[in-house]
Formats: sequence, structure tokens, C-alpha cells
Amino acid sequence: MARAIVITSGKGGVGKTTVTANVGRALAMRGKKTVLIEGDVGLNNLDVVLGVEDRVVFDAGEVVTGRATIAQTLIPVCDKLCLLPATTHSVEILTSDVFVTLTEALKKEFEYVLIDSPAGIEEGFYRSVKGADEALLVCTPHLTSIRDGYKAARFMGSFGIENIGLIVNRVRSEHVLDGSSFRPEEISESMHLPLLGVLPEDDEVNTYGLCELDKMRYAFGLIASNVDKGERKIYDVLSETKGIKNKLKRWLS
Amino acid sequence: MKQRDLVRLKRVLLTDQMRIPNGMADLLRNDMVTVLDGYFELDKKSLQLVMTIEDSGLYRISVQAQASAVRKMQTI
Repeated sequence: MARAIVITSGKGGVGKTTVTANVGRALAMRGKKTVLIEGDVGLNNLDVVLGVEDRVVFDAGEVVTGRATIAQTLIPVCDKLCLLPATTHSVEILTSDVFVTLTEALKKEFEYVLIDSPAGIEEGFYRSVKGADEALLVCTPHLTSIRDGYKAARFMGSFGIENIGLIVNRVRSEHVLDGSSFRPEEISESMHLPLLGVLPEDDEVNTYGLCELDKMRYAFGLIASNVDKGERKIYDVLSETKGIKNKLKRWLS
Repeated sequence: MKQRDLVRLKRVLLTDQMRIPNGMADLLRNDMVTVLDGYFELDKKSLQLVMTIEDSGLYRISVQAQASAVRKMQTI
């Protein structure tokens, strides 16, 4: 049975779109037919992160008005991965009920429907969440992000979404080691949410959309595996501090 | 993370859950003063009202105040 998963956070700038794109690709690489829906209709960036912004011809709003079919609108990103774009022009058209209809239609064609939610808990959040069966909540190890994420999780609970997995992004191993940052396990326990993934802080994530760095691909692959198979394999950020080479690097810095 | 930071995180998350409307604490405090002042010679400024929520979701409300004497009760 197809699964519609909303990727949300409450707070902006924590990596929702990056997680949506990379987990989507990792699911596709596992052989799962996956579609990504742009839920941040007014401030869409999923097309840019995926590197397909020049290929957007139609958008979800034009499917609703009958100017294009879903098949014409979907943009193939790679094998088994597509994007349903939504641009600023369609803000008025794409209501929450329309989003539910689109999600349900895509669930018939794909195994995974990932919805990239906008920040905040206003109309755009509601639109993205309403059609979802479950959620991935992204936060960083900062108090403000955790607080907003917790509020978003509680709102989702009131929409009937009980299955919420936590992804802690931008975890710096040296900060975890010296105790200046919350550990992902501490965040998971405080938020009462199961930890589904940990992503290390890396400058390359900010430079490129789809992460090509080995450790990032590995970390996203673990999340996709956890989503797909219900496992709990978590990337060990402290592995970066282990070994003689890394210890020497820390002593010299 | 240091213990005090963890305690702060948990306190922030719990406080957000309380769903107590703005100003409710002031209203409750004023009511408490009115009630207790009927029984005691109350130092009204000393009244402290603390509302917390436990992990289980239960609210804990504590009221602390000082009084110099018990008022005389009048019976009919």
C-alpha cells in the first residue's frame, strides 16, 4: 500500500527540502517508485534542490484547472523518482482539499509520496499535512528548532497523524563530544518521538541540493531504509571523531 | 548536553503544552487573594502562584501566601 509522508519541522531553515529530496532519491535507489510533492507553494525550492528548475513546464495548479494532466506535469528526476512542482502562480488554487485529491491520485501510481511542507503551522502546513498518512519531523539540535518541532508534532497529532519519526539534522560531532550540543537521543526523548535519522553537519549540504558526499548519502540511505523497512539504524556522528587520524586532527585544531 | 540545558529544554516543551491563556494566571491569583483574604489577615503581595505540568500531563498548581492572623469568623 502506498504511503504519503509529509516532511515538516515547524521552524524554517532546518533542512526539510534537503531531507525530502535526498530521502526521496534514497528510496528510489532502493527501487521504490517515489514522487515528491512541492508543498511550499509560495516559496518553492524543491525543483532547485533537485536541479530540475529549468524543466518545469506545468505545475500542480494547472492539473487542477485542467490545463495539464498529472503525467504531463510530473518531472522525472532519476529512475523511479519524480517531482510534482507547485509554483507561486497556484497559491490560490491549491487548497488543502485539492492537495488531498492530488495525493490520493499519486498514491495509485507510486509507492511513496513525499510532501515537502513549508515552515510554520499556518495554511501551508495544514495543506501539506492534511493528505499525509505519517510524518518525518526535521529539527536541528537547537532549542528553538526543537520547541517549534514539538509544537508542529502536537498539531499533527490533532490532524490524526500519529506515526511521526524524528530526523535530527546538522549534528556536529565535536559539539556532541564536548557536551555543548544536545545529543539526538536527548532530543528524541524530550520530544517523545522515535529517532529515525541523524544527519551530520556538512558545508556541502548548503552548497548543493542532492548530497553527493559519501557520508551524507550513507546517512540518507539509512533513513530511507528505516522508513521503508521499519528499522532503526542511526548514523553515528561520533564515528567522525574516532580513529588516530581524527584524534590527531582534533589535537592540532 | 549539560544537565541544566536539558532541564531548560524539558521545561520549555512542557510550558508550551500547558495551554493556559494569557492573563489566566493573574485572574487566578486575584481570585486566590480574594478567597484567602476572607479567612486570614493576608499579606496580599506575598501570594505566589505556580503552575506546572508533569510528564504525565497532570497540572500541578501550588499557592503560597503569608498571613499575620486568622480573621474572626462571624456566625448568624
